[in-house]
Amino acid sequence: MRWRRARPRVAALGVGLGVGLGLAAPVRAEAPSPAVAAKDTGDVPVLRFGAGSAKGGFTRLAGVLAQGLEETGDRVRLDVQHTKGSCENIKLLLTGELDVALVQYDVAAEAWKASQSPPEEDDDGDGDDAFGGWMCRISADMARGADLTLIAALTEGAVQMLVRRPVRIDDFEQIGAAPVYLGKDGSGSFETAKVIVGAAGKTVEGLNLVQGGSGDAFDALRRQELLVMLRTTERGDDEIADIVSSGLASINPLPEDVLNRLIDGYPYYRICQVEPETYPGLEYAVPTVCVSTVLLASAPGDGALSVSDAGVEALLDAAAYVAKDRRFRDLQVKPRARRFAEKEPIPLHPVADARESAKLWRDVGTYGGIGLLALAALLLARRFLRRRGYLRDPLSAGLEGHLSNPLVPFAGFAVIVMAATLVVWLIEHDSNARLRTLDDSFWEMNTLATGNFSTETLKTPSARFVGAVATIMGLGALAWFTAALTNIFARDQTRLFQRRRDHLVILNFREDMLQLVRLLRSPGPSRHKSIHVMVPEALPKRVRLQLAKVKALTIHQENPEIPENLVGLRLHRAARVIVLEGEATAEGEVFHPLRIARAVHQAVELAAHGGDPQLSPATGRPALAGDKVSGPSKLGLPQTLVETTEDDPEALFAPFRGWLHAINARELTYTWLVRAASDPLFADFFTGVVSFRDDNAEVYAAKLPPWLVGRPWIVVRRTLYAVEEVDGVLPLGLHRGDGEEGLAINPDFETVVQASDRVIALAEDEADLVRALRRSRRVAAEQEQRYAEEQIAASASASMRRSKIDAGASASMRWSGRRVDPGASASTRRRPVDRDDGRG
Amino acid sequence: MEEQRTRIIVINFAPRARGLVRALVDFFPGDVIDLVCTGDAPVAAAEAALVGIDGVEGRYFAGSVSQGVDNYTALLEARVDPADAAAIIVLPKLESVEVDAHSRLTCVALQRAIGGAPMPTVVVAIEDPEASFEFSGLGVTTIFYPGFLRAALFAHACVELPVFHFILALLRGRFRLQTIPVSEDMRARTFGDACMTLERDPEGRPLALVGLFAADPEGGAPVMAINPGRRYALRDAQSLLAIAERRP
Repeated sequence: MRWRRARPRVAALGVGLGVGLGLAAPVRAEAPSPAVAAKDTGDVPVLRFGAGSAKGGFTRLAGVLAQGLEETGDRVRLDVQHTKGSCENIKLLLTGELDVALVQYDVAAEAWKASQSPPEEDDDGDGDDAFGGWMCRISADMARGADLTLIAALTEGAVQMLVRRPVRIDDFEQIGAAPVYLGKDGSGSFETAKVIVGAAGKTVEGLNLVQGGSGDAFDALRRQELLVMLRTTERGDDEIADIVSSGLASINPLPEDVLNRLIDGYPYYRICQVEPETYPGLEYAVPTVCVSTVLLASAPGDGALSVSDAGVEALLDAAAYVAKDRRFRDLQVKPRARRFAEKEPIPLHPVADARESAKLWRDVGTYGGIGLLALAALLLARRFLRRRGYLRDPLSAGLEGHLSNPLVPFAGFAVIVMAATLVVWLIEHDSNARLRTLDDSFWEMNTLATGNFSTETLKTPSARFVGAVATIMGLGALAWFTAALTNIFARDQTRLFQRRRDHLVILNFREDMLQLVRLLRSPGPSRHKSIHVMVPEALPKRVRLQLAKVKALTIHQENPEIPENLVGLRLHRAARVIVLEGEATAEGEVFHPLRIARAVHQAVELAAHGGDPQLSPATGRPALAGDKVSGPSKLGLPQTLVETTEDDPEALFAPFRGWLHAINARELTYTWLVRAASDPLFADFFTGVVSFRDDNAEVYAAKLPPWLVGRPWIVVRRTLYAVEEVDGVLPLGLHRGDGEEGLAINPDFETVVQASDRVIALAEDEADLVRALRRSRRVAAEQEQRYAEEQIAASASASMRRSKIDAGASASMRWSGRRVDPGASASTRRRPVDRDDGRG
Repeated sequence: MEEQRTRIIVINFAPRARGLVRALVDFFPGDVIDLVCTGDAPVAAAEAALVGIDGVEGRYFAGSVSQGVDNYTALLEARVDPADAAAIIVLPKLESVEVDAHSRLTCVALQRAIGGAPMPTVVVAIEDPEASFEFSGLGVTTIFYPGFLRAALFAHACVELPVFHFILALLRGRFRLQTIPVSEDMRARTFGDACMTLERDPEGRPLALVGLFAADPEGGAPVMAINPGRRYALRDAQSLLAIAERRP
């Protein structure tokens, strides 16, 4: 290959001849280009520059470059030559008739590829090998005529498919025989259109092509004589904008399969999109392909480059100048040496290569420096925040703390997705229609990282590898995240299960009380209360295992007679404390309920005084058991149930009366046996009532709503019978005051209900009873009316029977029928029936 | 006035069950309780536990089903005469390897001893609630699991103290349960109607319906339904169940 042979020599010359002077003459002297030599005028070398048609975009770009050269030192001048475009320019470069030319990169790359193909003999000698199947019909022999070298990519054009409205083209098959314009023969635009049509599986010969220039084609489109027009030009082209804004045509996306096939066969393009609002009314990005216009030089014949290093320097300077100059902004010049196509096979000119390397290092230095500065700022900020106490020392949290923090895997997942998004986009955004933008890449990587890996999404092995890593790491992070969240919920649940408020405490547990735990966990008001069970050491392991299976139950193995052991149970907040009769421990020790009751009392005092026992002002010693707990915390003693035996006299627990209820369970057992033996009906009923088993057969007590307070029991009772919304509430009586003495089952009907009374009723559950009471207002009024009428009738009847008795002495009473104050006494709520009220 | 005598038999009696004797006295105040006990406890200790309690005429016979069902049946027939008892209470023999099996064999012996005569009320206290079904067909009126009673009492105390006091009062006999026949005109109505209608007993005292006895669809004894619901139709009800305060 000639270029590769010549390259070391040229590079050495470039370095040796002093780049700063900008003089190409020594190079030219050593390796003179006939064309350049012939055109030299004075000291300034002139390059034969291939542009395009006189009014085309290439010619304008060439003119601007020439102006740029002049304004950047006039080191090189351009002899701009009008040609038919990319095809002619590449051919002239290959034949050495041009020094530098503007060529569409796909055409240039095809020519370079043709030069790499093995030589073939022209067997028949008819010379038809002069035309090949490469773009612009360049043959391999022709391509081998010169080595092409890339100076820079200057502009980028996008293939834009204009379709007459309201037609939308999703498939090229839809075009059929309709007239189509692909570009002027010989132009790069036409060559690009040809390969796009080919990627769609069609040939240009099979299409109804409209010939002529682009102006003619736009006119045809305006006359609605053209269905489709493929045009490769910069995005925002004025002519396209005009026709789009006129509503005659719209820009259609190139089908995704066409894009992918095109990139696979011709990787000299890159996938890109026409952004929204590029043209009036364009609301969505339109996927398409882009191709760059490059500045190409050649080394024909003997391998010497047609342009000197200084000339390349001047051209690159001019291009950079033009790119920055606001006067030429509409040309969208953006010089690039790399990353303007999916693949860039044409070697870069050494000068451009050196500039690119220098730029790369500059970028590394700049971005690396920025990164280091950011890191230093972060470290300083972290140090500052830690000194101020806003941040904790990470070592204090521990690895376990970090692992259980769901934000860590969440952040990890985000980092994985972002990193994969960036890497995959960098790898494939030029070649994969599904990853045109970072946004596309982000959503695809989200899909992958959540476990939806698909080989169809990504094309290249490297991107697929990144995708697979993102999938595996993403799944791991999600699993970690889920586990961390579950851990939090489990901890919350455990905390909830172990909560020490309104809880139940069972001290000195023994095996036969497993039944109690089952009942407490059966449906009912105590079902959701946490249970704390203090077990003796002697409790069999199998019983512990059974207890451990009970939801929201915490086992404590402590000596219940030591107050300090009970402080942690926060007994002052307990709903109930149950002290069971003791069983002998392994050492033969028996915990006695009385000692445990003392410990409960002292534990509450300890809790009330922050761990210090309350001292009696009289003795200076800890207060005696049974003293009322007082103090600033106002913590009370829990309602405590103590199982006693026949050996425990009732007076034993007398000091604790008021908060402690002694239950002689064995005595009650015998009572039950005797009652069941004498009254089987009782046995059935009692079992049904206490077992929490049958529907509606449980007994509950509830506070009465205000509208029932002050009414006679008969009204309350009838009201509960009659509430329609809740079935199965059977009122039994009232509980007023403390203990068994306060029970009034089936009280007299005239008994007036007090605000402090609680109604006792059979119901399915406590909620039913409460609901029935809440919804009883209307029914209560009705029942009160009914009762008043009964009273009036009874009064009238009594009056008639005792007509001779003075009306003023009548004891008949009538219910007023009005709402009465709850606090008023029964006597004030009744008023005597006036015999002259019309009913007598 | 002639004193009322109540004959109660307690099987597997032991001195530790002295509380049962006191409970009998409390429940039948004024009656003379003819208490016949059998068991494997030392005779002297057992007899000592039965003496000195007013209103109780206690006798103790050594023997249990541990000595064989036939032998124990013979003892029951010869000395105890279970068919003549008002009630029989079978206590668990705690010293036995399999307590409830022992009680079951005891019931077999009782059934044999009673023969074709009507079975008195038999109440059996068991240790393992799972064993209750083993007593099916042995003429046992009620199976009682003391552990359950204790647990139920504490559980109710955990729910509501007033309810706990109600249960205690119910257990101690403060309230009486009575059945009320369902009249023909009531059969066309519902349990809710009955609650609103039957408010007083014949003596004019308030009473509250708490359930009913319905015919057993399988032809067995009537089934107690506690609080069957307001809409329950009374056409198949045999009697209503009411609770009232036991008043002197």
